[in-house]
Amino acid sequence: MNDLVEYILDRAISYGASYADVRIEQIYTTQIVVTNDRIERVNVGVRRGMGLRVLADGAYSFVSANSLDRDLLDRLARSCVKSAKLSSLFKREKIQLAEVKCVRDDVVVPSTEKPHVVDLDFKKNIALEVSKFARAFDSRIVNSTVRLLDEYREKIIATSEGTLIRYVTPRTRIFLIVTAFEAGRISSHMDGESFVSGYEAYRKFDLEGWAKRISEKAVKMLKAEPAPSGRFTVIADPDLTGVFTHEAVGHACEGDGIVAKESILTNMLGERIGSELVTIYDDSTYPNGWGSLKYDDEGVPTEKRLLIDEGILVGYINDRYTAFKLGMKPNGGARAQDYMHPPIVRMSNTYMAPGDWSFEEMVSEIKYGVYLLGSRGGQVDTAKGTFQFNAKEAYLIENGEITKPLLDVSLSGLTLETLKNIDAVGKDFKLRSGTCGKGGQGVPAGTGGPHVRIVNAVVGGRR
Amino acid sequence: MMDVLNKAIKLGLKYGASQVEAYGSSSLNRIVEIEGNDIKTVRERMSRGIGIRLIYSGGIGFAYTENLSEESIDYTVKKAISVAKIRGPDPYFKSFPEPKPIPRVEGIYFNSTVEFELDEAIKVARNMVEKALEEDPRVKSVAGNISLSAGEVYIANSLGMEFNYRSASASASVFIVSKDKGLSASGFELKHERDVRKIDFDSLCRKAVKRSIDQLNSKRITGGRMWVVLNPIAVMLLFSNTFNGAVTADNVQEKRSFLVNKLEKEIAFRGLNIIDDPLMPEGINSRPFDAEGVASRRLTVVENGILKSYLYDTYRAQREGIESTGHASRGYSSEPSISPSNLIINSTYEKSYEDLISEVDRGLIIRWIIGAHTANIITGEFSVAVGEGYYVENGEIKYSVRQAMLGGNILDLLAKIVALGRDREKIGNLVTGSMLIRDQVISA
Repeated sequence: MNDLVEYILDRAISYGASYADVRIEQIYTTQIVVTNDRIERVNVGVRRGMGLRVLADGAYSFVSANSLDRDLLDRLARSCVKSAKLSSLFKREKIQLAEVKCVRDDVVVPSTEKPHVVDLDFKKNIALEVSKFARAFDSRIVNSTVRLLDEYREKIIATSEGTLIRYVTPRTRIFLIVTAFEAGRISSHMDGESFVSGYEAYRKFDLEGWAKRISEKAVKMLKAEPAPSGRFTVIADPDLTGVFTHEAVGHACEGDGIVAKESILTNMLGERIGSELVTIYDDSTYPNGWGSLKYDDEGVPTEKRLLIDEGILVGYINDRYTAFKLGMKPNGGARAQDYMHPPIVRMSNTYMAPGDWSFEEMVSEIKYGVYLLGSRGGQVDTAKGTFQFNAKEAYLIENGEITKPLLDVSLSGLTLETLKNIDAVGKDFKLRSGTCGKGGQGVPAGTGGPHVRIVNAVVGGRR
Repeated sequence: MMDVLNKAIKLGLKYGASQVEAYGSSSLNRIVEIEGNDIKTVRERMSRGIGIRLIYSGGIGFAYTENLSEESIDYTVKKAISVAKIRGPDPYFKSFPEPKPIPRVEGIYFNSTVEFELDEAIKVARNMVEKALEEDPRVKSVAGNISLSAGEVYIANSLGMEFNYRSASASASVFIVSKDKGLSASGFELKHERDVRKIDFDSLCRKAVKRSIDQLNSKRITGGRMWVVLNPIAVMLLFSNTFNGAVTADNVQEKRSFLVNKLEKEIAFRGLNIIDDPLMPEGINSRPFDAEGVASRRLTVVENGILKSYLYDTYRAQREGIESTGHASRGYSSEPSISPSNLIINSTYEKSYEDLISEVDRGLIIRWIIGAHTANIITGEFSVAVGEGYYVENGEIKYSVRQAMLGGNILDLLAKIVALGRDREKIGNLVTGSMLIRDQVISA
C-alpha cells in the first residue's frame, strides 16, 4: 500500500500540484437488523478506495475512486491537478496552508475480538438476544428492532510533505428501538451504545438490563401527555447538554465557518459569550471517546481544545487552511467521512465541563418547568445562531418535583442568549456517542457534559 | 457491468443457490463547492460496486463489494451464501421478481447534464458569488455548490432478468448570510433537476439573497394556537421525516408506524390526494423499474384523505400475497429497502398562494424548518424550530419571525389542512403547493 500512496502523490506533484494528500482505506462493514425474533437484514461487505486532494496554483481539488488500478489513478491525479488549476483561474484568493511537522506513525486501536474476524453467528445472536429481552419486558411492546453495526477500518494517510500514517480502527455499535401500543396509543423509545473496540466490549455489557430500560421507557411514554409550549426553566440531562454544546457552540467554533464569516462567533475571540459557569472543550484525546483520534485526515496531531473558558470564547477548531487564514495553530480539526470525501473542519468530542450543583438542588428551585433527557438529534443555523434539539424523554417539573411524562418535545433558542441563561451546572458528567453530519459527511462524534439548568428556554410542545 | 453480474449469478447457482440476484451501479459525481465568497474545492467522485442477493436453502443472503475482480466476486458470492446459512430459512420469501415489460420514462438522462464541463461549472460558481455580493451590500457570505451526477443502474437475476438504465441529474444550492445593525440572517435556495439547463443559477442567487435580507428585520412574536402556511420546502422536510417512512410496508407490517391499521381510513382532510409517480417526466426519482427490476407504475397513496395503499417491495408484498408496488430502493452496498419515488400532492381545494395568505387572521408562514430529522417516524410526533418564518396578521405578511417552534403530530396536521396553494413546486422528490393549516401550536 505504501508504494501505491507514493505513486499517487508522485503523479500529482509531477502534474503540477504544490501539495497533495491521499488516503487509502479498506473498510470491512457488517450490518445486522433484527425485528422481533426475525433477522430482517444482514449486509456484509468490503469498501476499498482512495481519495486524493491536491493544491495547485492556490486552489484545492479532490478526486476519489473505489478502484486502485494504477492507470486509473494516474488519470485521476492528472484530472485532479487540472481541475485545481482551472479553479484557480476563478478564485478570488489563493489558498495557503499553515506549516506542520511531518509525522510517521502506525496507530492501531487495540481490539482482541476484531469486528471483521468475529463470527457472524455470534453477532446475530447478540441482536436476537437484545430483541428478546426488550419484548420480554412487557406485552405492550409490539415491536423491537435491533441494529448491530460494526466496521474495521484500515487507513493510510500520506502527504507530499512526507507524512505517512497507518491508522487502524475497530468500531462496534448497537441500537434498539422499541414500539409500544396500548388502547390506540403508540409510543417508542430508542437508545444506542458504541464502542471504539471489537466485540470484547460485549463481554461486560449488560444487554438485558440495557434492553429492559429502553422498553420500560417506551411503556412509560404511553401515558405521556402533550408538552406545554412557551418559555420555561428547563433542566437538560448530560446527553442533551452534550447535544446543545455540540450543535449550538461546537459548530459555531468550526474554523471554516469563521473564515467564511458565516458563524455568529466570527471575530469574537476574547469576548464573553456565556455565563461564567460555562466551560466547553472539543477534545480529540478523550480516552476511548467515540470522536477521539490521534491524527486528523491531514495527518496533523490532534489535541484537547478549550473553546469557551468560564464564558469567554478562547478557541476555534482549525484545519491547516483555516489556521493559516486566522493566524492560529492547526489543531487537528480536519476529518473526512471516508476516502470518498475530502477532509473538512469537524469536531471530535465536544463537552461542557462539570460545575458544582447537585441535580436535587437544581430541581428544587423550579416551580414550573421541564426536565429533558436524551436526544434524538438536533440542528443549528450557525448564521442566525438558532438551534433546535429534540429530547427522547421529558417530564414536567412542578413545585420542585419531577411529575408527569411528556410527549416528544424539543428545545430551541438562540445560542448567545442561551449560553447566558445557564444558571446552574451540575457536578455529574457523561460522554456519549453520535454521528455528526455536515456537508454531506457523517463522522463519529462524542458529546457530553453534566446536568444543566437553563432559564427562559423555548419549549416546543403541542399544548 | 452486466457481464460481472451474470458471472456472479452463475457462480451463485454453481455454489447451490436456488435463486440469485445481482445489482450493480456506477456513478460519476462532480461538485464545485463555494464557501466564504470563493470557490472552496472541486470534487470528482467515481464509484461502482455490486450487491449479490441469493436464496440458499430457503434463506436470504446478501453481500457486496467494490472490488470487481474475479477473486473478489467469488469471495462475495460465498459470503452471501454463508450469510444465508446463518439467517436460516425465511418463511415469507417466495421468489425474486420475474422480468416483465418495462415502461419508458421521459427525461431522466440529458446529455446537457452529462456533458456540462467542470470549467463551466467553476465559472458559474464564481458568477454566483459575484451576483450575490452585487445584489445587496449587506450580503457578507456566500456558500453553496453545483453538483452534476451521472450513473447507470444494472439489475439481473436468475429468472432471466437483465435490465439497466442510465440517468443524470444536476443540483445547485446557495446559502447567503447577510448582516445589518448587529443582526445576521441566512437565506437558502436549492434546485435539483434532471436537465441542468432548467436551473437558473442567477435567479437562485437572487432569491436566496432576498430571503436572507427579508429576515434582517426579524421580530419576536407571542406564541399560541394559530394558522400556518407551510411552503413546499417545509412540507418536503416534514414529510420526508414522517409520512415517507411511515407509509412503507416494512414499517407497517412490523408495527413501527403511525399508519398501522389505517388503510381505507381517513388520515387527512378530505380534499387531499397523494400520488406516487415513478414515471413523472424529469422526476428526480423517476425510473423505468425499481431496485429489484419491478416495472414502475403510478400508485394512488391517498385519495380524498383516505389512505389507499402502502408502498411495497417484493418481499413485503409476498408476505401479504400481493404484487410489489415497485418501491424497492438501494445502493449496491445494501439489500433493498422501501421508499417513495416521486410524491405528488394535490387537492380539490386549491387556491392561489395570495388567497391562502389572505385567509390567515393570525399566523405564520413557515418556509424552512430546523431539526425536521428529529421528528418521530414511528409516532408522527414532531417538535421543530422555525428556520425561516413570517408573521401574518389579517391576511398580510408583517415581518420575519426571530424565534419560534412548531410542535404537533403529522396526522393531526394532515387533518387540519384547509387548502393547498397553486404555488406548486418540485422539491427533491416531492411536488406540492403550500399547505394552509389551521390550529397549530407555535411557541415563541
